[in-house]
Amino acid sequence: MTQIFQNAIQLVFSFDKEVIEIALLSIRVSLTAAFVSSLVAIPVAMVIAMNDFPGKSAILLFINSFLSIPAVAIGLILYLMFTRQGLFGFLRLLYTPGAMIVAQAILVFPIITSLTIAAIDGIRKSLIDTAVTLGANSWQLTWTIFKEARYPMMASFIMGFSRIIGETGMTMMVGGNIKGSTRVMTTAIALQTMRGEFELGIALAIILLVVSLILNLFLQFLQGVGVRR
Amino acid sequence: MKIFANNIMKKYINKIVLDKISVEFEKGSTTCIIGPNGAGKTTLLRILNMLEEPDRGEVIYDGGSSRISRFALQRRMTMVMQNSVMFNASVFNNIAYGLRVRGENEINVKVESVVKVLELTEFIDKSALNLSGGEIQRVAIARALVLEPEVLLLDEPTTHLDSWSKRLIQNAILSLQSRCKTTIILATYDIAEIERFEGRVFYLEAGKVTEKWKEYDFTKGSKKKSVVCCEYFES
Amino acid sequence: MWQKISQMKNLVMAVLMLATTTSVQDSGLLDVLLLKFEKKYNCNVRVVAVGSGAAIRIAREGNADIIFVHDRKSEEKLIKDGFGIKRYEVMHNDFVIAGPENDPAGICRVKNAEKVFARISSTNSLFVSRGDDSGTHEKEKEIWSAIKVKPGGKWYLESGQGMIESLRIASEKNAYILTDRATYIAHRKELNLEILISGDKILYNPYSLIPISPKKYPDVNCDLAMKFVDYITKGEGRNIIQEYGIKKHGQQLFFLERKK
Repeated sequence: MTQIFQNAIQLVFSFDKEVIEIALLSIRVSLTAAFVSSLVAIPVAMVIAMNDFPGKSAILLFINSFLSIPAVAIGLILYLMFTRQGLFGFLRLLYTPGAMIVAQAILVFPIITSLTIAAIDGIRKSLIDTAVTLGANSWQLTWTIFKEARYPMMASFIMGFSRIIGETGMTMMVGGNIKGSTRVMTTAIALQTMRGEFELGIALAIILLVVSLILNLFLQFLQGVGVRR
Repeated sequence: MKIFANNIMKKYINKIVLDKISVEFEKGSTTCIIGPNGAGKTTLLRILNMLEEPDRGEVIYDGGSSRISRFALQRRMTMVMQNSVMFNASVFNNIAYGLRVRGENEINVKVESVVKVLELTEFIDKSALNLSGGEIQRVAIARALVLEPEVLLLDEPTTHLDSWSKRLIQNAILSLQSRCKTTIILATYDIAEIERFEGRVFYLEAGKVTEKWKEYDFTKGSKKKSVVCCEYFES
Repeated sequence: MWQKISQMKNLVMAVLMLATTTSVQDSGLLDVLLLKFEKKYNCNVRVVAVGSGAAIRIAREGNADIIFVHDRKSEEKLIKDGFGIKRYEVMHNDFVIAGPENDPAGICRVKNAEKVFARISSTNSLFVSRGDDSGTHEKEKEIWSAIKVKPGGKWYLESGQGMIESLRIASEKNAYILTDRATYIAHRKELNLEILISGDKILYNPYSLIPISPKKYPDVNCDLAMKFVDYITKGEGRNIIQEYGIKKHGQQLFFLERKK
């Protein structure tokens, strides 16, 4: 048992090529997914949060219920769409990093949207009034609100990222866990455990843990910045 | 800018906040609104600043020339709130905010001169979120004064402040008024402040302008006693 | 007191832990086999469907009562090491090499599996490997080492997953793949793959049952494991295996071993 951990730690610090390759792919895929998702989610969240319109509560309910959709359900739907006979089969996206990015971006969308809405709701009404009374037009007001909510928005990005970098089942379904192409940390851990190669699995788990530790430290810092003295 | 509030009525759920108020504010004049908490002072100021719409009645700016858009009118006024909030930015950027959104030039010069008047020089690069209450209120005043507005709406701007800060703020406002013929509308509790501003006074209670103000003797120490004119409509 | 406990134990349904290769599960045969067995002996069979390599490892660690695998070398080692009681050769089918219909590497004229593999690697044609130490993967490695090729590079896709998943990847990627016939037949409707090579001797694929020895792990359910062996090798299991697939897929998927 200790031998396994020793070997695993050695594997991490020797910068084993396979370990590094898998870790980098994980980070690249999930970072891209979170970024692409934010590009849509943040404007959508701002429109929802800053306006009152009929059906707003229905939309919020919809987004919040999508927070708990099982990832594998998204994986299944995407599999059926991306498979060669599927609606988007012509894209030949199945079992590529692209498919993993799409799946993770969809999974993280409601998370970033609802957290961004909460971030904007957290801005005091009086701050918005202040901007208006100082002469901001609606675009300038939007930009001001975006800037005011930047730290909580970054926090929501990080929370979304850490959710998807730890995702396994869905990523396996659409990615296929192909070595050197779509094998990411979580799918590799799942696979290596089955094969009894605990060292690589543990080494990747250590990296995953370190990544999420760093992210959460950053998150804590961001949440500190936004808070008034 | 001259403002005429005509028969303003505002209701929140079941409570009547402003009950058919009609007041005229001449260009360059000073008006102090006094009255107990919840009398509707803040609501009246917000309606004058177009942050809220009256349920009935209307506010007529400059005799109601319809060519000027609401937004352009709004930019000719500004308001300082009772508990001002700061943008999450430096003091400089807070003060420059209104100039920036208007796309004005020489922002540095303008900000620096108002910073000097309000003695904020040492804070200029600090985050506005780390200021004390008095400092925040001074920045809020600076943020408004730097715009040289035609109408300045002040909602208890110096309440809870020390007398040094009060004096600093009052001086800054008065010097702007003498320079720019600013119309000042001030909600306050502070009798000393009313005396300093030497404006007319009216008393707002339960959403109505009453003549109860006469019970207060504001004329002590003040030589120029202005006539308070407020129209009062019986419902 | 002890009597009471053993009485209680009888009330609880007996459990058989079965670690098996994915092909037996994925072809659907196992479900049919277990249904009758569970009813007959009023027991509960818990199935862990993994590659043969993983199944054997699970057995070595004492986490299974019996295994159902197809990797002769590892099986024999398991018995030599004293973990398995005996190999019961139950049935066989064969491996086939499947690939896209248009056969870009032109392997369908070749009959010999080693030469096919050599051709795939020399033309850098996409090839999906299970890459999971399963029986199928072991067979694949056996062929690679026979022709002294160390596969790797962009054309060699290691899925690390079960047979169905690997077949799907091959189908999506227009790649060649070594598969057991049963899993392929059971899923061919959803795959864009054709059988290109079959019938070579090296592709023979025997499945065996190995009950785990109570000498190594005293708490294994040896009794029930032996009942399962009898059920499959002598009892109704034989008929089920022989008939399986004919109705649904139009052909027999597994063939019984001749009795010695």
